[in-house]
Amino acid sequence: MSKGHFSLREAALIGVWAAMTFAVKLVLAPLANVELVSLMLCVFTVAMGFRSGLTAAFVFTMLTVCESAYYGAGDWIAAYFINWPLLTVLTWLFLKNKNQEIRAAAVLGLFGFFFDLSSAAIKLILFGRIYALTYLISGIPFDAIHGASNFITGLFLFRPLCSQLEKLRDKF
Amino acid sequence: MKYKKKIIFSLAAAAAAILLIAGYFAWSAPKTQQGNKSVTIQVVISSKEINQTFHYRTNQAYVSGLLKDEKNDLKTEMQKGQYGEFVTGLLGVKADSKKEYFNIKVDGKDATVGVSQLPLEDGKTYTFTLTAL
Repeated sequence: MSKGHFSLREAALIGVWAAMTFAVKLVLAPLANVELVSLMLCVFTVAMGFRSGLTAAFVFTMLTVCESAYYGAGDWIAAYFINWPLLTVLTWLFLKNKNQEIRAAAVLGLFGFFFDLSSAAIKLILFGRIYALTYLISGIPFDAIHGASNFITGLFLFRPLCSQLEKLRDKF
Repeated sequence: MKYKKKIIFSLAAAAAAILLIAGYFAWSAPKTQQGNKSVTIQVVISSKEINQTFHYRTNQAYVSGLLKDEKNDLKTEMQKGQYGEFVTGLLGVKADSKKEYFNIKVDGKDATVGVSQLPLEDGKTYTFTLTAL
């Protein structure tokens, strides 16, 4: 990866990965809080570097903003702009290579479990303490599912996905 | 990491999530009162000039159970909805779902849950008022 501007190939790859992540999000949408977005952004950051991962996170988030034209907008858009880039930062800080699968599972699991903290913070500002607290407490079952499913998918898929992506990267 | 170890970690994560969810529902479920209770059911339908009061002794835990037990007396009609059962008719008067509903008050305060989750408590008065939407 170059240090300056993205090459055309890199830019295309980021776009394709963000689109694939968005497609996976849509496919898994019927399963409440079971998602592979976290894993895909995490893998992309490990394999392609922080700058590409962060950009992919922003492109993916912009796609979900476009999606809101269909499903309706909400304060979750602001939370997405916090959470997905934050995940790439966490990945950059804690995950250096594909062999750290247990650490990846832990990072993804904790990220899933605390995913709603940013939403609650936004609700705290917009609607007050009681609303934010009610939102957080009522979301505990969903956060538990999110955390556990992220942990499990990270444990099984982080390493093989990283390996495949690194192979493809090296072919370029 | 070995596949077997991954399975064990996954099961542990799933078990932790299940325990947390079960604990959450146990903690947040309405607390019911066991044993025999003396309660009052009041039905107010102003358009029909109905304001009747019924006193019951019951072992039921929730209001929906009592309403079913006393179906002959109260002429209860209920429907199952997304959030449990809700009252659609009382004393032969059916609520027009487009215009009205049965508001529920417990000792004069609005109930925050439906009849299937509303616990029966000794000495309390449950008022059903046909109210315009």
